[in-house]
Amino acid sequence: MNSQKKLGSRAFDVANLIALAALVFVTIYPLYYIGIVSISDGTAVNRGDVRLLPVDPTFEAYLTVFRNKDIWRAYSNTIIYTVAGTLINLFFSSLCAYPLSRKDFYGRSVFTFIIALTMFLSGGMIPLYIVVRKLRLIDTMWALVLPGAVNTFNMIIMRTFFQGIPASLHESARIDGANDIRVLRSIVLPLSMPIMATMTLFYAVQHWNSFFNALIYLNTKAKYPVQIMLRNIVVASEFADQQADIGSVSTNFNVVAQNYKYAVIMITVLPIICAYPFLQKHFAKGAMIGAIKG
Amino acid sequence: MKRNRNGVAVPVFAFLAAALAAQGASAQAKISAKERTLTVMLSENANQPVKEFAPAQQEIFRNTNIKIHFEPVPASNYEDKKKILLATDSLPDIISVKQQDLNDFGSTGVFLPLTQYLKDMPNFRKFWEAIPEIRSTLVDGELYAFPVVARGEARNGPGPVIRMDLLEKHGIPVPRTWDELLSALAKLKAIYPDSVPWSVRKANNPIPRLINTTMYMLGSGAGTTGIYYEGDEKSGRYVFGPATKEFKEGLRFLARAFEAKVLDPDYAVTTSQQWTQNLTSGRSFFFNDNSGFGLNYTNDLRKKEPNAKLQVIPIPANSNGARRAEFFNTRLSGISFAINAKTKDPRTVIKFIDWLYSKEGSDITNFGVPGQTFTLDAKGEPRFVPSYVDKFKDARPSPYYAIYSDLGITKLNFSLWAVNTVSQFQIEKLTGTWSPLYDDYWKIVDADAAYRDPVMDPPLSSDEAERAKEILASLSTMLAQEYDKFIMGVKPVDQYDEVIRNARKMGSEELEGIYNKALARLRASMKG
Repeated sequence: MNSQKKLGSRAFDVANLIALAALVFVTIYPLYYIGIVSISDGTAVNRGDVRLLPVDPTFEAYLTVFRNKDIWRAYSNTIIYTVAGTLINLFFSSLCAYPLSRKDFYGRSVFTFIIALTMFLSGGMIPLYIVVRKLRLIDTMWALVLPGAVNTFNMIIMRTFFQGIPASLHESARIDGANDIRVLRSIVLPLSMPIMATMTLFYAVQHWNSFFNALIYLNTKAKYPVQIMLRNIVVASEFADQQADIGSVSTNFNVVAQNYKYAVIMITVLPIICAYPFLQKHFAKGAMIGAIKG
Repeated sequence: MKRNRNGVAVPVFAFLAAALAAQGASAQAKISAKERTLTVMLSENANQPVKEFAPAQQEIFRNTNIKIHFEPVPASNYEDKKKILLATDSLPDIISVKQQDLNDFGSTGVFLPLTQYLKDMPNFRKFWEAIPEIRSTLVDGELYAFPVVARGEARNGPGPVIRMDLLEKHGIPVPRTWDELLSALAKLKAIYPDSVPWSVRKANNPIPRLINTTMYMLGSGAGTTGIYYEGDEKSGRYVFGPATKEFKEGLRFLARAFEAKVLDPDYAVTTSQQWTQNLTSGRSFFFNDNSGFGLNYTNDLRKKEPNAKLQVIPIPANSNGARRAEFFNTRLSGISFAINAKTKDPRTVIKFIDWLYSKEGSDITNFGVPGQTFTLDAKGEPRFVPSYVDKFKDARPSPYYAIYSDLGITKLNFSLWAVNTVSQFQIEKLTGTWSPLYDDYWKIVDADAAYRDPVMDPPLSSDEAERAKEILASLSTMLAQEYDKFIMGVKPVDQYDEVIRNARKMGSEELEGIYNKALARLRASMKG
């Protein structure tokens, strides 16, 4: 009886292992596939010969990408926008979250309500564009980092975390002569590292992937972030299809090669993938703490 | 000896001509008295990145005193950006637009109305008079955009492409009718049981690509929405293809192809990528799509089978004995540029645009810098300088795209009388990427009398366009579910009569009426 039960539980373990291994496989395979296609021969990719291992490995696609000056410039733009944008986000979000976390802040619920409202109602694309244009931010970096300086949802998570810090800490700091700025800087922020790390990741990923804002607000090619290049390269072949659908002259048979496309994808997602494991412990902890105490 | 002398004479002559032309330009007053910058927003193709102030734009500046500042938007999202700029009235000076934008926004006054300037545009007027299709772009009688006119374009279109090497190997004659084609492919299927002889890729149109490309050749037609032009250029009319007897006969043929396992059983869901795989891996032997793809796929195939050859064949005769096919539109390139109504001093802009339509302007915007990157041959036609082209021998994605991008030229840049195939052929011949297969290809298409030029849809009034859209929406929903049932044999083709009756009930005849009325208006306006 006992051994049978053991057998049953072992069978379950095995089945579990197999199912989870399959799950891991389907999760990782697409990324792995992009990797092997990017280092395979273009013709083999066209023929559909690349499945589990790279065929005729070559780094030609990567060399082509590295030779493209536009991509490098776009890459450095993306880094600048991400760093500057994330700093601005953290600065303003914490400045907004801190007062809202204090019970003694007059009109707290009204302000919270007004701010939360923007999560459900937004002005829409066209009015936003007009505002940005009237502020003369079009075709500048500021159009990408200022309009979204505070993400309401992130700010509320932050506020909830700040609320978890005992009020007595604030009071003792005040007795020692600290003003609000000092309390925020020396008490609240050092105690909120998990949430700050989480927010850094949230905001940074958002900036890194941001593409639509850059598309509409930036006009000069020298200012484009890498996601715009990436999208153009990845979508180009589909786009060529559409053109052929319309029946326009299409004698330009060369569509962007698959391996080139995938090489660009690898280069643009790798930094973020590499950053994840290091931030992940804060990430899981921070997000959970914010959520539970809310 | 004679050849040698010619060889010297041509460059010398060309150099003199270029020098004279340059002098002529500087002696005359330039188009803009003061230095001026015009902002041009266009769609950037990933194959041909747009550079700021490339040699062609520098040359334009030298000749006209006008600097072009590009705002290139990735082609993948050009529409999104354009819509926002149109909606917020924040257009640059010159913007690449589609016919739909002119229909939607022409009456709002964001674009400069152009008819008033026609008399000041000697170069553009030549095209206006020679190419009646330009009148199809009018909105309520007004011209709002300058179409990019194709210069010396080699013509091709959808056409049947087959593995010639396999036909030869197995002693199968080149099919001359669609029935022969079917039996030829059936024979190949018998020899290679694992193959899917006829591969098709799906399209995102209401009309599946199989029907879009093949039905016209079979004696009916469907275009991309169902409505298509039937008959010769002068006396033809619009017909809603899927509601005709001829269409039913076409379906009967496709159903036979499906039953004989010649047509790919997955034809309805095959993506472009899978389609390419089928053809380049040797799993499929035939396609009826843009026939130019055959050249690319042959190159891929030959890495495994050195004798492989996918080549276009003359259009086979259909059951009525007629051979027919349509070219892609080779007179207009499908791109047009509108001018912002708020642009300062529009007369100068108009003069500049007209200069771009001139031979001088077109040479510069398609071949670069006279004397440096191109010279004129004895007939006055521009030819690339071989030593310049040589530098791009190994460039990616192809030498010609790299050259276009480097110089800032051709129809994917800013050119109004734009070259596409001419320059491509020149460069491929110079860099050695040309193959005899290409010569054969263009000869076969050129010699085939079955092709005719496509007819551009006439301009509909906004009410007509609205109504046509309504009818088409319901027709497309109903029909989309039907085609595959008949092709796959779920329903016998004889029952298609019922579908025809339904389509007529849903307004297919009214739709034809709308188009034919617009066509009659267009014809009347051309006479007047």
